[in-house]
Amino acid sequence: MAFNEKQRLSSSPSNRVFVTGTGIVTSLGLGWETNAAGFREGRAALRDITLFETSRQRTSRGGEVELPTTIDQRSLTDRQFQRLDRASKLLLLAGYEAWDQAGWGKDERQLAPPAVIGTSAGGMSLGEAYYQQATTSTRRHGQATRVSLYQPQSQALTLCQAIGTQGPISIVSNACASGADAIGQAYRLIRSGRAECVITGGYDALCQLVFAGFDSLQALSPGLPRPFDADRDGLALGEGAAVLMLESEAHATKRSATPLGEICGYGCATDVHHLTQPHPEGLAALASMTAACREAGVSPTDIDYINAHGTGTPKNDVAEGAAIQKWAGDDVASIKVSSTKGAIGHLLGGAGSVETIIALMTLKGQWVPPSLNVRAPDPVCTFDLIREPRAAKVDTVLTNSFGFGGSNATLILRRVS
Amino acid sequence: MSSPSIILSGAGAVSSAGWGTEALFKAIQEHRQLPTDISQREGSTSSVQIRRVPKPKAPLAFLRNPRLRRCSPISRYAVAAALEALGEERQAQVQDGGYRLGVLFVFMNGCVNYSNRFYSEVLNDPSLASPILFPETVFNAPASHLAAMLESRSPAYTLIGDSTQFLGGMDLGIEWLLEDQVDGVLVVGSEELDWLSTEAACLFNRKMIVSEGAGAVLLESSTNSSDSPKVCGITPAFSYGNDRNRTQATAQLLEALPNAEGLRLQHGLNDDGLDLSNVLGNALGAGLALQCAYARTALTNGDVAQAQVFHVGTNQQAIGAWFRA
Repeated sequence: MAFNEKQRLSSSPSNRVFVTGTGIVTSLGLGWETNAAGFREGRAALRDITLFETSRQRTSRGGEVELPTTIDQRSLTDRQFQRLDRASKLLLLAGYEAWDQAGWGKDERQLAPPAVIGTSAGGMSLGEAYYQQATTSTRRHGQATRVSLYQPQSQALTLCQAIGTQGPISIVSNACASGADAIGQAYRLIRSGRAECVITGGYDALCQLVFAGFDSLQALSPGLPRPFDADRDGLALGEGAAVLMLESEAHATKRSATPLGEICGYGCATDVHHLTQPHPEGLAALASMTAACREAGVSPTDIDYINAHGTGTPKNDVAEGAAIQKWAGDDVASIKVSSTKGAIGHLLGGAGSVETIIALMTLKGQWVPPSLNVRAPDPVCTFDLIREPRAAKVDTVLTNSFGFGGSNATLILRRVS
Repeated sequence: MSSPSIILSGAGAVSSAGWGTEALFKAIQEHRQLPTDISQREGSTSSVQIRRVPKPKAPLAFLRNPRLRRCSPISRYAVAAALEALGEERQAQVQDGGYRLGVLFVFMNGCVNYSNRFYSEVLNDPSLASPILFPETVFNAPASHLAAMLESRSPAYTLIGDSTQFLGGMDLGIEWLLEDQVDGVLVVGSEELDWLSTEAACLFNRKMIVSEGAGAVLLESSTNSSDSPKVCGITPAFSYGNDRNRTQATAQLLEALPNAEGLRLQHGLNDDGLDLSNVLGNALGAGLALQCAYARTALTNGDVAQAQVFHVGTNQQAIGAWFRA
């Protein structure tokens, strides 16, 4: 990525953008197959958190990932490998799967693909460790390393070093929309002809500060998260990562790659209503959905499934539901909608990217995942709320991600025949 | 009609030299010796030299906005720099809905004051940690406050990286302009002082004088050849890694920038270019933003016809840009 006034100002190509590799890590497990099976079967993977103390909080449950005992070192030096933090491990696992699935190699390394990655907390657990040592000890041993690796660019740099690429790195931190915005930005780089291949996605690891933060806001459910249930009382936090390898149609065709799907629209808008609450009518959500559909050249009747942001908090779900109602108009009853956060929790900066891969799973598998734990749907659900896994014809999917600070993002994905 | 250029149509600054680009420009021109202070947290034996942003000469009117009432210094500096870069006319256009303003915030540390306070409360008793503090710890809180204050519903992004990320933000902002997503983009880099970040910075350089502040530029597309300073180019970002270390990235950066007479601003190169941090202190993620605001001011004042900025980051990349009047 670079700008030069002589080269840039007259060109406006509109390349098609294919996803040719994906990697996913959630509390359901590692990899496409495990996660696809879990979502297809409507499994939940929330358990008591073991990473930090939660006894003084309203809940101890979350979507904690069980990391494998060994991780491939690839091109990392021994020193880098020994220093990996939890967030880096999550991103590495997803990145390796995506790289391998795409079948990228020497040619793509030479292109130095940009990496556009979303996160809301980076290596926050290292920041916490730094803080605790600084306030309880005069020892400085290890502190410089913690400072370096805590910074969000560090996890992305580690992934790029491990897979042997050295393109520019952008870290998008738009709270819970980070992952979707990162993919949206990566998509735009290829669409506009600025890049042939891009590594994108998002991640976040569970950490004490963020868990306590959501608890302080009483945003965490003391029981089960029930997105779109009339009596929902909050979300569950999760952790994980998802990485996608995007490439232009021309590049994919040249190397005979099989696309998993096409990204064909991205929209984003800012909700100025409140720092942590959406506008009750979901105006920014409506704006981002409308913009994404306009870019993709589709109307609501073309959308076979919406993977909703659907956190399970009282305010989010009603605002998103209102936005879907307005966006779909008279066709709302036929729109299939679910939130997968009841299964794996809310992955914050990783949510948008994980849910983009779930969207790709629905395109490939021709099924839609359920919103778990719904006892009675909220009256706002005039759409077809999916409560049990269902086989379905899925050609075009919309996925929403909304975050603190009013960051709203929508992506549209299409099956490539 | 000539082909469109990307112009720096406004700049704003808050620095240890004071509030506004004029204060920044004068302090650098006069090689002013700005006052330093010592930051020493209670219970710690280590002390750090710092340069603070001085108190504003008049109360900041924008703090009356409900969203900014309890914001931390990082948001205050950012909003002040952003409003200066935007100007009153554009601000009114944004608020009337007649101007699509993109907002791009860039940080290295972000909202450390509130993160420090909140995590301290969590360690003390998480059940009593304040719900008022937590939302302000989120990286995109300042961008959200600015967008809300301006009633701007266009894209608002926050980018995190080392001290070079401001040019990454400008590059993305230019992309938004070229795709006609927005009519203008405010790119803002901001940082605030806190023992947490100052002590951390000095782990890498004990002699560093850590500073704070914000720089902002307003990017627009224009077909008027006499308009404002132009952005001629931004180099690729030369990332560090196992195949390219910091020295090699720096060499590639120098090769990528064209030879040009004029103002040469640098950080991390240790050559004869002007390093603003020698006067202001190291403002971390805001340092490059202040360089760009300074370059725009020098070009607008007619002091120079061209300006280049080079920035070699701590742990991510080296990048540069060049502008002309």
